[in-house]
Amino acid sequence: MNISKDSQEFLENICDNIKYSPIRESVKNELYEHILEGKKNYIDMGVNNEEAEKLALEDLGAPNEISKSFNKVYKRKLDWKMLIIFILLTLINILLVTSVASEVGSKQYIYRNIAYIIIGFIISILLYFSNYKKMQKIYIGIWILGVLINISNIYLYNNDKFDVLNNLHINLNLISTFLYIISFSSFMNNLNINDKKNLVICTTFTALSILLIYLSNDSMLLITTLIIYMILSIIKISTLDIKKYKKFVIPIILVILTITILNVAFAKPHLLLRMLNPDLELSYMQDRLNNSKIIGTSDMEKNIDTNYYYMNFSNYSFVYLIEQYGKILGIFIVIVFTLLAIKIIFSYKAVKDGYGKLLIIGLGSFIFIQSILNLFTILGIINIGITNMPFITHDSANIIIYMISIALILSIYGQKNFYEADKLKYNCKQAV
Amino acid sequence: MILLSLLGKKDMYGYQLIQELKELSQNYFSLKEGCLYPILHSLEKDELISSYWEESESKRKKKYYYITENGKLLLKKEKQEWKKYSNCINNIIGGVSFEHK
Repeated sequence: MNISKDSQEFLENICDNIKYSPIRESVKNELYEHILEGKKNYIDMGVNNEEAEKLALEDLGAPNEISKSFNKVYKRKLDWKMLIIFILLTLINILLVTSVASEVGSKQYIYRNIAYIIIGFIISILLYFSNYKKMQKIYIGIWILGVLINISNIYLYNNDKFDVLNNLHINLNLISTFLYIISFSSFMNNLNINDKKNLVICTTFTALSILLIYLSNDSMLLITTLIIYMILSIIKISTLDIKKYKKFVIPIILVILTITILNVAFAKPHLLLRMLNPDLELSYMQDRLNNSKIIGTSDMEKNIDTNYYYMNFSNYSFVYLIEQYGKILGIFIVIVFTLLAIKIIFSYKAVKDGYGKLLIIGLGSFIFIQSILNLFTILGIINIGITNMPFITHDSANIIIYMISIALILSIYGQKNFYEADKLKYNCKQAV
Repeated sequence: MILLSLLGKKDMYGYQLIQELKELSQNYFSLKEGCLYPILHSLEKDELISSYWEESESKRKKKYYYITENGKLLLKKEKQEWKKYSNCINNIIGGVSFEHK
């Protein structure tokens, strides 16, 4: 039994107006079945074919009402608290940029930084309204892109092409780490402990990405990535049904991680030396931090070196902000990052989809671990290198990466109730 | 509660649910049939029901809904609430009608 052109248009009308695209096909099939059943019922009652279909359609009601009701059910849930944290961090970035801009005085600098924030916002909005599950289909592509960017960074670094790297105004390693985290979350989500091929691919790709970050001479990003990989593996393993081995697997991962970090430190002896002898640059910054006021600009004079560090790098932007506006701003920033960490845990708990959970923890730790590492380095707790504090960066497009990381977390939370899409894998490919 | 209680009896697809509802309520409950599906999706979203696609005799696939453990718990609670509520109303109405007599 087939349906008429009118019924087909009726179904098209409903589906075209359903905003959440993954359910369209499923709803179409379901309603198609409904029309056929209704029609059959009327025919059995003695109504002719054409009239029966017309009555079945009438019973369904107005198409726009049906699509409207579906849109109400599949409405994205905006995580206001996370959005406020996102806006606060962006505002702190704008404060930093305007403050530095008043000292640099270059129009180009201002335009460039405004452009980064605008681009970050546009990509964030686009990502927020996209279906994050689609990344799962292209994760190998994401991984390859990460590798290519990573290799180009290694090439430029090893050939002393620092000018090119500086002119890019973005840390290539940061982009590749971001892409690796997304692909690693997908690897973990697709991990099948009984499929040897899957295990080999997953391990090889992971090991390769670690090797490439190791080769790019960024110990802080390497440590960040290793910790994130470890957290994601433990989360995945705890969901697997391998009760026998569960007790052993997690400690093994911890041991491997510790050995790797120690190996990194011993392979690069300067890292250990730095731990023992804090370098001048860092103790100088700590001195400036200690001499800053609770509220207001510090009285300490800035020399050429200080200005050089503050204007050209973002590593000490946190110290710069404290010097400009007082320790109170520093405390505020720490509170915002703490709230971010709490919010990440809550979002993780609220999201039911396994892939979404892994991504939230991966991207959330990506931001949180870097902020902790930067903070600890500045406070003199650790000293193995320095990284940006997420969002507290200027004159660098890194801000875009941080913005889209939070936008993705917001997007996953927003879609936390959309698990209909998962079932569509099993969906009928019935021609309607 | 009505949909949960119908699905508590057996797994059903949309049209079947509508027919069952009409039959059991003797056509008292009649809703625009298209409205049923967003309600079912909403219940599924809240993990009260779940669904699967199955091929029927006509070789076409139909989406069957079934009640989940969460749904069963809620249904039990709602039924108790309803019993209390209806007993209460019956007592009141009964009292009123008694006075009229």
